This record gives sequence, structure tokens and C-alpha cells, in this order.
Amino acid sequence: MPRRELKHPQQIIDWLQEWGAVLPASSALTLIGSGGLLWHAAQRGVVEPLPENSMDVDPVTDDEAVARLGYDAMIGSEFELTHGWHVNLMPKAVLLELPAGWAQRVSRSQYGSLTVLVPAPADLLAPKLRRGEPRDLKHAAWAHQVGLLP
Amino acid sequence: MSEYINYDDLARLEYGQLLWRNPGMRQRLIAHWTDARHPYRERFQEQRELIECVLSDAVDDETLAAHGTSRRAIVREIPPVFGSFWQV
Repeated sequence: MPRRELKHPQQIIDWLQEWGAVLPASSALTLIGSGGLLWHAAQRGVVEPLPENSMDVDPVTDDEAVARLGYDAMIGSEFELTHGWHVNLMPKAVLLELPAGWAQRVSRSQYGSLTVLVPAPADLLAPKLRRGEPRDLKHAAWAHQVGLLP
Repeated sequence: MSEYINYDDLARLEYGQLLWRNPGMRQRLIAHWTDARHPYRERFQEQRELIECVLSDAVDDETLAAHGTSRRAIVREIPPVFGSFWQV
């Protein structure tokens, strides 16, 4: 029975490896939101799940092949049925919500053909803290708790 | 597109334009938007010419105004894709 939520750091890594294995050529995405926080947690070996499950991941890309995978993985898709969460492609303008200089602090990793850029945890949290909804605040508290922030 | 920011609209525009450049994806989008299961298929047909121009990035604001619409308004008319019947 597949999970019906996104909350474990390894779920993000499994997804990126899955896409990296099927993408035909060099491609890239920038991962923001709670998916990005989970990615950072996975890099640190954190197994503590994210409170308040996420329902989706928010990548930004200008790569057609990645966009096609994103369309195949949107809400209501077979991808969602099997993974329990979906992909919500975001426009580039959303990156303007990140603090200035975020691109200089970004982390980068390679999954097969896929290059993944992830803004620093503090940069990912900035829009959430501005929004300040209970779920956002829980995600921020979790990021502190599991050591994503100095 | 002015100061108007609706990320869902912007995403449909950006990724719609990206996929529209690929003839195969273009046909797939049209097939999806005209599918009998798509709730906005009639709306799409009514605005199809302008929507296709916007997706091709081949229309200026003056032309849109001459058709009684705007970039903001026509972008909102780009139909969504429904995952439940997108995959073929």
C-alpha cells in the first residue's frame, strides 16, 4: 500500500532518482517549498518526518522534459495514485519570493541526468514565515528541530 | 504581465508555452482540452484562436485589446490539465 502523504525525507530522494533515471538528457529543476526542506533533511540523514504532511512538491524548471514529467505527475495522475502526492510545477516568478542572493547559497545535486538545485533552508523558510500559517510554522519548527538551520 | 501575480495562471502560461513548442505535446494538449471529459472544452473552443496565439507567444497586447481582451484575461482562459485523463 503506497503512502498517502509526503513527509519522509527519503521520499524526495526516491522521486528525484526516479526522474533522473528516465530523463533522456541533461536537465534541471529547482526545488522549493517543503520538498526542498525534506531534501536538506535527507542530506543530513534525518528520518524525523515532516509534521503536517505535504501533498505535493513544487519544482521550477525551464526544461521541457522535466515539464512533461511534471504534467504526468500532477494532481489526479497515476503518479499521484502510486506516490500519494503530486507534482505542482511552479512559475519562475515564485523564485522572487526567496530572499535576495538565494542563488549564491543554493545546494546542487545530481540524480542521473537530472541536476537538482535546492535553495538553502533559511531561504526556503522565508516565504513560509512571511505567510505564517500554522502549517508553515510547524515546518519551520521542524527545520530547527532537525538541525537544518544554524 | 503587469503586477498581476497568480502563480497558477503563470504556471499554465509558462509551462503551456514550453510544451506548445513541441508539436507532439501541442497536439496532446489540444486533444486533452477538447476531450469530452474536459469541463472547459467549450470555453476553450470559444477562445481557441487567441489561446493558441498566447501559447505561441505570437500576439501583442494591442491585438488582444482589439479582440476585447487582455493578456491577463486570456491567460486565465488557458485550460488546466487534469491528471485523471491526461496520460494516454
